[in-house]
Amino acid sequence: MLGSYTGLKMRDQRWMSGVEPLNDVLRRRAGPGNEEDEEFYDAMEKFDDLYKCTTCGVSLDVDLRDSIVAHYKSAWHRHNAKLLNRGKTPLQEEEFDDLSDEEATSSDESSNEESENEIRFPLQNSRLFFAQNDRVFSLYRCILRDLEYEASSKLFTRPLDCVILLLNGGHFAGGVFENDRLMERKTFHRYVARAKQGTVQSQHDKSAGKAHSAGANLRRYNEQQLSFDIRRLLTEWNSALISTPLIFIRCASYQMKLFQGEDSPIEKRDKRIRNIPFESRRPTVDEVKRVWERLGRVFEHGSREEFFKNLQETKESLKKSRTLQKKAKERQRLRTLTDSEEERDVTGEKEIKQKRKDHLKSREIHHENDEPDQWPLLEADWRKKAILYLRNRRYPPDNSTLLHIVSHKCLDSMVEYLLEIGCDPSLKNAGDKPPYAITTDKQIRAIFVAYREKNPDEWNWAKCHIPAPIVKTEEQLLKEAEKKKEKNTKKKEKQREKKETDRKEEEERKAREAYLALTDREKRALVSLRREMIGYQR
Amino acid sequence: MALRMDYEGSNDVGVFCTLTNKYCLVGIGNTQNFYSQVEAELADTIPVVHTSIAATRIVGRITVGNRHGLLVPSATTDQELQHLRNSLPDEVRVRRVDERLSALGNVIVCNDHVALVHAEISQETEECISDVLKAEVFRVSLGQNSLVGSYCALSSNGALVAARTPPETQRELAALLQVPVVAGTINRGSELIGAGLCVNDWTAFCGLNTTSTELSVVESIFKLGDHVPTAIGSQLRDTLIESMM
Repeated sequence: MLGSYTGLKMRDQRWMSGVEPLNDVLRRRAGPGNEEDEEFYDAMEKFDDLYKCTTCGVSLDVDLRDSIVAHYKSAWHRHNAKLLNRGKTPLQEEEFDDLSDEEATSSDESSNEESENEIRFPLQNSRLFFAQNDRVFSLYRCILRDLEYEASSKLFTRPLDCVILLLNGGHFAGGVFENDRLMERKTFHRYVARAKQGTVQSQHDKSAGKAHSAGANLRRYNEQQLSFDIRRLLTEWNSALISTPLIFIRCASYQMKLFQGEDSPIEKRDKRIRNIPFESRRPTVDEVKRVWERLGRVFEHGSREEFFKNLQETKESLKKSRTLQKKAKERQRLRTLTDSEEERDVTGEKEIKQKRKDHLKSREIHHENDEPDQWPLLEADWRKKAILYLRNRRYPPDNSTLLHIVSHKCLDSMVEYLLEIGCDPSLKNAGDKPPYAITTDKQIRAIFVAYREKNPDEWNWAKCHIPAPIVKTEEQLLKEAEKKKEKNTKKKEKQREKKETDRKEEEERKAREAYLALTDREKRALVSLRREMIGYQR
Repeated sequence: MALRMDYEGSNDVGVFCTLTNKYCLVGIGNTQNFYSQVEAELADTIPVVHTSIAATRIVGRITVGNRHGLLVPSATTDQELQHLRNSLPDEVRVRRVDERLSALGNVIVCNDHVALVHAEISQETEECISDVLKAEVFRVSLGQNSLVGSYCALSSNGALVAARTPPETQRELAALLQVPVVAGTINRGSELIGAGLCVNDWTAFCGLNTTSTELSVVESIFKLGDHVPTAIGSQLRDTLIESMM
């Protein structure tokens, strides 16, 4: 799914018209009454009595050998063949999907079929896909500015203004691009990395203790100088850094603090900071130019049909190995975690006004909800309209539903109410997130989960990202109780021990004080007495 | 042409012999009868290799091969492997496979293009089959019988499966293999087709007990000699006479 680079650039006349986000295209394609699909199903039925996989009991099209082969290679068929061999009944496709869903994210056919207007496929997150005249292209997602989610013609008309800062060991290179030209540039080098060993001196000191060699001192000093140099440069470029819409930084994570800080124009959680999504070489001016040029590339994925075929193939190969899927799941989980963090960052000051307005609206509705006799006053059809409004209305800036907003704002009773009147928790906002994923509040999440428990069949819960409620068995409960008990006893023991030691210390202290309070003569007498005692014992 | 022969009194010639379009393996026995019969039939076209595999003579059950290659079980000794490499044509690749189901001939059956395998063989073996034998791999079972190699014989012209294989499975196999599939027996009613018969694109060896009806089914489905499927009934007499002579 990498696509091929055929020399296409972002700043090209051809992007002036007809560019549309891929998701829109897909949604339209998967719309109801698609004739192709119907034909396909007709054909399937025709062959029903002719050819079947006897293991899985599924009909296959004799004329399409590829589909037959694909079926026999599928994990589902393998699983069934094994089951049959062991004298068990083979699984239906849905059952198998459920089974594999439990172990892995659903990248399988059935979920794909049923949720065709909600396309999930193994697309790279680092790329932004768009279509133009039946052909699919992609570009690096990181060149989108804050609050942009989809490709638009605006994206192609403006120049790629940005600041690129590369730091690797002691090598630094930076450049400011404005109007497609390199306006400012700077490189410098300091000797900070341990020669032939790697790692910057300070990092090595952290892991292996401070070295006292002359070289180590030199490198430590140089590191300090490097940070001064960078600071000086950043203040020099202050105006450019403040006005630029994007800042690309490539450095080790521990070096990030060199760029951000109190007196730096780059804030700690600056939303303009981007990673460079490909490898870069040793920082030089040429490298800065190359990075900028590469960021502006557009990749071609062929016609839409080819693209979908490729997509299908990738999906199949994904399906093949479960381990891969497991990893993907892990990655997905991590991604949603980081995404929700980003989400939080995204709701910046600019949005707050808008949100407040939305908030007020939700307050009003909240109000109505608190006084239930207001609803009966409404006529039935108005009431229906109001509910429809609550269900379907989308709000800018990220096309969120009311449910998104209230779950983001953690208004628990509102969330409950909206779910009850039938707001769809599987609707996604422009960031492709359902309301459940937007909230970080445990209480709100618990509300969603509880609602799922109450209405297990109302929505497609997998799509909503809402997990099934965890039902604890008696055994688990027993175990937990035991653990608690153990913990308690341990705690008590610890307390007792502490008391004991405290008491001992106190005694010792008293003895010492008593000894100190004695006069010299008395001390001497005591010592001689002790000596005598020891001699006597011998 | 299908020939009846026996291996030291045993009808299961498929147990002691692996026959492909490029070579033939025969287990080392006490007498040379079987070997010389096979050699008389094949020696001017393909090499006939006298070998033991893992110090046994049941080469037909524990190896599997086709025109492109040969898979032998992990118990095969280095000497045997070296002997095979020396005697087989250069373009035939020999690979030792570390498979739990070590009787490869019982769990795998293949022609030059397609291989049917037991449901539980490992992923690595499957890759070996597609890599060395250059065949598409399908995990299937023949009705109740999951040992595809024992209950099925396969060439580029046709496939013979055990008599009790259900018709829908036969249809399924025909679609997978893209050759005609017929159900039958060998060695006077034995269902162990793979054990009683070894076949390539132009010749077949079956046990001495095989009836002429069974023989003519074999000849017609594998298109051996000048027989065609419709000739099963009419040519029975010729077969009988031939075997008596």
